[in-house]
Amino acid sequence: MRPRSSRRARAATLLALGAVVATGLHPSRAEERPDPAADLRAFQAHFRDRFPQLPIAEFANGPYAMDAGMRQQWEEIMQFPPYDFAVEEGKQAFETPFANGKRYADCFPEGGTGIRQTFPYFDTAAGEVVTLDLAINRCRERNGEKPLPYQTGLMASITAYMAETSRGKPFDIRIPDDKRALAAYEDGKRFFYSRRGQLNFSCASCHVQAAGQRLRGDVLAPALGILASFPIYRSEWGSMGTVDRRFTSCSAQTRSEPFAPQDPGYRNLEYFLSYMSNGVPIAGPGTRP
Amino acid sequence: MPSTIRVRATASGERTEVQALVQHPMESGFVKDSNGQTIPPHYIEVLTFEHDGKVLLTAYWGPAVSKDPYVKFAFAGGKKGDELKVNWTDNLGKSDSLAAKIL
Amino acid sequence: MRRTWRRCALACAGMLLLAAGARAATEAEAGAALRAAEQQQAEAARLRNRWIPAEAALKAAREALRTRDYDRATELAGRAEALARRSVEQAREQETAWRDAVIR
Repeated sequence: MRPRSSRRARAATLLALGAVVATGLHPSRAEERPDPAADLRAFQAHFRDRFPQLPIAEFANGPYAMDAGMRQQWEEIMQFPPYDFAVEEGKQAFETPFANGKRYADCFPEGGTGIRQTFPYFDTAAGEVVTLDLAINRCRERNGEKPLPYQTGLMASITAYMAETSRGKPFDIRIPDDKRALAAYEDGKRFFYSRRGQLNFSCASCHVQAAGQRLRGDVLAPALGILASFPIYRSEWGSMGTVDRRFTSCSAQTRSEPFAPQDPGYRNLEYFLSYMSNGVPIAGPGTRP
Repeated sequence: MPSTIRVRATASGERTEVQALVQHPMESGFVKDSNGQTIPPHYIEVLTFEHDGKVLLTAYWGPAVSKDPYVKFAFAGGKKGDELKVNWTDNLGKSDSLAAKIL
Repeated sequence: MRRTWRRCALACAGMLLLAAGARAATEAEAGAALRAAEQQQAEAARLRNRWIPAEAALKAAREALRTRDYDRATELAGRAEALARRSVEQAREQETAWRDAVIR
């Protein structure tokens, strides 16, 4: 074996060389200033070119926009959407006052109706990304209630109801001109494109490169609009699941130790993905195989 | 407590098409939880649909039927505004019923 | 056919020799292997890139050490260390490599 130091030196030389070449070709590449608007244009153009027959709203339907057979089954399922029971439970919880007499509606603009498309947002006061799920739990805690578990159950039911009141409203995620907001966006973007886990997959490996292709019996949803249908009733789970549940299982499927639900890493990822999907209408709650 | 039954019946000409979804765990009794404890059996045994005082369909369900089962069938007769009654009973003696109007 | 047999016999003989040469691992060796694995896994955790199989092997190695199965503990710790080392390498490589995958 070659001594470590020389290997490292060689790597450093290569890196330096690479940097010179890269800066020579793409002046912006090596030390890029985040430019979310340009990223969004390129991201959406990629999926438009890849699936030219699909209107942007269809991207909210994930695999059902990709495969005619699956779409037919889905339309059959939608005669009686399996998330109906969750929406009803969520509506009831949403309208039931807390012990102190306040309601969820008091915590949100517009009384919590038709606002799903604005989440997650960057809270410039706290300097962090706030998802709908996190806002719901903070609302509970402010009103003396215990926070709900994030992945399934009542949290999924409440977000299902709130999504249903926002159907058809296009994702409208803003990135304020704030260093921390840009850093959060960039962190989410980095996570999305980074290979992780024993299987060496990134989010993009499946949802960009292989979007629309089969992964065993499943059809991979394109990353554009991938969160528009959340929360979802997944037949595989036999129950409802939130974005956290999906991220957690995605991580585990690549043999990567998942983060805790609502970890800043996952929140930043949700921020990036939702921003990339600006213009895709909310279609949640959804069903998936 | 919201109903565990969703039903939609639509009349068209001589035929009425009925679809129903029932919320039920349908535990087979063969599944173990994360602590290795067997989850006791809990499943619907009988499901009936009634129209005009007559039983249209009786389904003898059991442990092999999926969670939150869905059923779809059609019958001759039935008109808009008629009442359709749905009822289920499970192995623990619990039951639920619902009366819906044919659309 | 005959060549295959001969090769197979040779391989078997080799394995037997190796097995005869191997000796049982001591508690100290198992402990050292486990510490090495834990160190790699701690680095993976710092980089926020732990692998599930690395953690599983580490856990099993600790259990084997506890039940004084030093051979098994050493083997599992070695496996955990290799996996954890690769996860650290992956994280370091992806610190810059992810940019090449960005849609632009």
